[in-house]
Amino acid sequence: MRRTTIVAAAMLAVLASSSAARAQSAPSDLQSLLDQSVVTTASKTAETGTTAPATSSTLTAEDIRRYGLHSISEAIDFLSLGAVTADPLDTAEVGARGVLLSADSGDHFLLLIDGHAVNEPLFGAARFDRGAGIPIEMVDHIEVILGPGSVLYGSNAMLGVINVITKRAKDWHGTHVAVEGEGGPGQVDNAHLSQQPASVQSKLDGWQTNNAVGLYSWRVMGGAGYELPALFGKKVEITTAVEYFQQDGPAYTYGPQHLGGDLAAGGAPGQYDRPPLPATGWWGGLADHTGYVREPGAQLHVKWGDFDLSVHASMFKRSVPYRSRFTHPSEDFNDGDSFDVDRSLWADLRHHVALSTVVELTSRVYADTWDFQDKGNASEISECITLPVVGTNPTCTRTGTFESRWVGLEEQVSFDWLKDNTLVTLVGADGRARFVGTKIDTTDFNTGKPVASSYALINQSDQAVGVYAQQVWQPTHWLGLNAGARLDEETRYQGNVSPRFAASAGAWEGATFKAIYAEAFRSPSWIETNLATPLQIPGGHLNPERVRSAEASFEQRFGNHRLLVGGFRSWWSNLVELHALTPAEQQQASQQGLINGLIYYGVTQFRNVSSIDNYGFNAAYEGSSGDSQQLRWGTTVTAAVARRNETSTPGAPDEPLTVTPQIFGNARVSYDLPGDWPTVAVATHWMGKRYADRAFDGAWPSAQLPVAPPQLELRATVNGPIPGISGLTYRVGVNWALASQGPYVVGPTQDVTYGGAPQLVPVNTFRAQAGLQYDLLP
Amino acid sequence: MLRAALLGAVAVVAVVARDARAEDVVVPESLQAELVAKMAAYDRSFAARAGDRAHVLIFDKPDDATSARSAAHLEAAFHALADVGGLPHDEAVVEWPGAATLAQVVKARHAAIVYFTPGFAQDVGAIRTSLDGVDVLSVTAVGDYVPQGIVLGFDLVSGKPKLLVNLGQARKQHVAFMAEVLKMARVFE
Repeated sequence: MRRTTIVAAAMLAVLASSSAARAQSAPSDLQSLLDQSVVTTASKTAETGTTAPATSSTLTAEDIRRYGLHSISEAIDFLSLGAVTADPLDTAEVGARGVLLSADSGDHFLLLIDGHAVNEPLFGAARFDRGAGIPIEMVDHIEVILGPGSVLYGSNAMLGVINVITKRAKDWHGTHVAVEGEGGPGQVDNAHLSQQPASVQSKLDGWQTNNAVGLYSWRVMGGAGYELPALFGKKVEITTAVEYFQQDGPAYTYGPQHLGGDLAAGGAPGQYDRPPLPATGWWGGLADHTGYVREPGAQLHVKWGDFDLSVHASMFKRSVPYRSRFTHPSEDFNDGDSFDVDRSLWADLRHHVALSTVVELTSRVYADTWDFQDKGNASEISECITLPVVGTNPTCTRTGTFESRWVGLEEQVSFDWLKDNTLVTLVGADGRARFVGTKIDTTDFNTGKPVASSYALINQSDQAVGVYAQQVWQPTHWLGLNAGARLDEETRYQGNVSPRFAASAGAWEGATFKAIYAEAFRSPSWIETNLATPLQIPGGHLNPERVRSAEASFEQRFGNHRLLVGGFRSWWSNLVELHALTPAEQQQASQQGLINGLIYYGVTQFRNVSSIDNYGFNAAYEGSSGDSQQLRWGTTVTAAVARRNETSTPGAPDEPLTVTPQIFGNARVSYDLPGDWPTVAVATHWMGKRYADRAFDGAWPSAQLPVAPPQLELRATVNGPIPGISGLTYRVGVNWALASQGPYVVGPTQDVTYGGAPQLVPVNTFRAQAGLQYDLLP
Repeated sequence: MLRAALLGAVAVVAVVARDARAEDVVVPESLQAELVAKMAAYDRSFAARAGDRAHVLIFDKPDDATSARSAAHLEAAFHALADVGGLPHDEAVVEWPGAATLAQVVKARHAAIVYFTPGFAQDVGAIRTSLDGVDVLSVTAVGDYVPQGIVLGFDLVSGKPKLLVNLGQARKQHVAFMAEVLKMARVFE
């Protein structure tokens, strides 16, 4: 499979290339310059991607539209070099170059929107899918910067930095309305009901699926971009967009997973459906009440003179059949009242001015509020042992409320000492005051009355300050050097220094060699250090995670073609993971009063558990052809080895990372037909097999080790104007995935305890999209 | 402490904002210079205009730090280039003489390219009028100036540079870009 996909991608590129040679007529030397990406994220300065001190990809609005992409995560998968996402159904996880740390809430990639960092301090969370809440039509481009980026951005930028740049008014002039929908088989038999053994079939009464085609998601978007009359002599630009996305399905079958008796109920069959449904001891069925998403989002950008104001508001509510192996082990199945919801609101005001020919000043003030509610209903008695009456099969509602708020100020000064951009010093300081709070309440589902005191209480404030300096020196026109470091101090963690050294050298026409060494860190989140529940001991003082990385790359531009190859190696240490306490540790914790002595299983604690050794190579090739670059193509491939070692357990063997693919990439080709004819585009992303998240800690026998098969996702899109109606365009597409399973174990059978086989998260293998957009130009 | 810092920042912003303008240089000057050097080669009139050496005049506005900064960057960027339009070249930063004498300066210095840095928003109309009939390629670091009367400029769209060409003004200044180059540009009439 792996060989097949590589060969297919290579053939695609060769085919496109040969066609290019025939059709090429545009001035290729000029086109080569126009194809250069200008990135601002790597060094907080506008520079070409070729010379920037990082390996980067620029995902353009044009490509996002032509290849039918709807979110940051889709753009990453289909267009970027070295980055990849995975979908546990809840919210997308993102990794890069062989390292994806599952269940990390996105806290190893720093997400910026117009330069504003959105990772919050409680979990370090950022959403990269629909949950980002950014109308995709408003995205101008996305800069994906690979490798440690703490040198300018501080905590969380371990895998890299993703900066979503929204459009300026001139690029989105007028008023815009879009509607789109996505459909396919409304129900999918993921459990393969007919293949279940006879002993199980009797438990499947009432389970059924059909393949009726239905519309299961839709979206509406409205936006505008206008340049307004000058205010106090300064031009005003406003760009804004509002969207609402709703998804209901497709509905998958899950299970059946037999969990046996409920010990808290004296061994009676476990209750995994809300009464009056009977307690059967079986989990699963058709999940037609969960699998929904509601996402309203809005983004506003106002430019007035040298001031830039960005405002964001979004909500992301979703319900999935199985959310977490640790925090929601036995929720009622197919319960649409169990859900997660994020809400985000932030504003960022920036001012940039040249004070002299030497000095530039950038000032920024920002404020964010983010909260997260996690609501789950469980009818299993052992999940609701705080109720006074045991044995009546009550349903408990557990509601976690988590919030982060922060305000900050950043000042940045650059000194162009020789006034020619060859010797530039950048210094800056970013300070923020933060508040985090959590609590979990347990109520009786039927009455809504509390059945226990709130727990998992965190109510903390702290300050964080980072100071950084960067020196850029270009001693000759072909050599660029960049060195910098950042010192981060916060209330819990002091003295994190993150250096970076980079050099780029132009060897001959169009050729650039680059070498980079960088370090980054992540401060453990408040959840990791302070959260206490009946089943979790606070992590206490944890060491920050660290990564050191070295990489080298070579880029050659020739005419309309660009080729990049690079190798990298990174060393990760102090990785914080949830550690399951041994019986001895549990006894000790009980004696210290950290847990209830009656609890005898499943107590966990965040600890500095492991390290990772990671190395590999990545390559990209892209080009275009034709008078107006009608034919475009591109392909990337990344091969990486990442071995995790549990350093907290002496003698533990190295093991591969779960979820992350060791080889993956993408390929795409599009052609703009002339006149009002459409653009036809095909894009694919592919990856090799991946160990499922519980592969190595579920104690599975080697024959049952959960492994997700290789995946190849193909998306064909046609978009163009509707003849006769000025401003109206359409986009239709189909998406086909080869494999029907992803790398996550779902359901309460997360390990061998209950004897069942692991079940992997389903993947929607076929869906079709259609949409209309109307652009009203003044 | 934080409140004081915030207030301080607001005060700093308020002070430095007095002379603020929104004339962004979105494409790095080094890349602009490379693009101009290539574009000149696709101007059929360039060789005849420049003769054996291309003279590039970069105008900056007095007392405008942004303008002066951009001019210095452009001068250094051109200086690093082997040729402009296939010709040897020299470049000089010139303090803005005013639109009334612009054509005179261009002719006197045999300029093949005149470059306008940020700060000329109020002058573009007069520049356009002044250069009508003058054989010179006018270029700007600010994309907004092109529809108002500068022949060539640059914008950044989806993180990539975009050529902007004012074709009507190009004809008036005897600039004749080849058709295949115009297909790569956003053209204003």
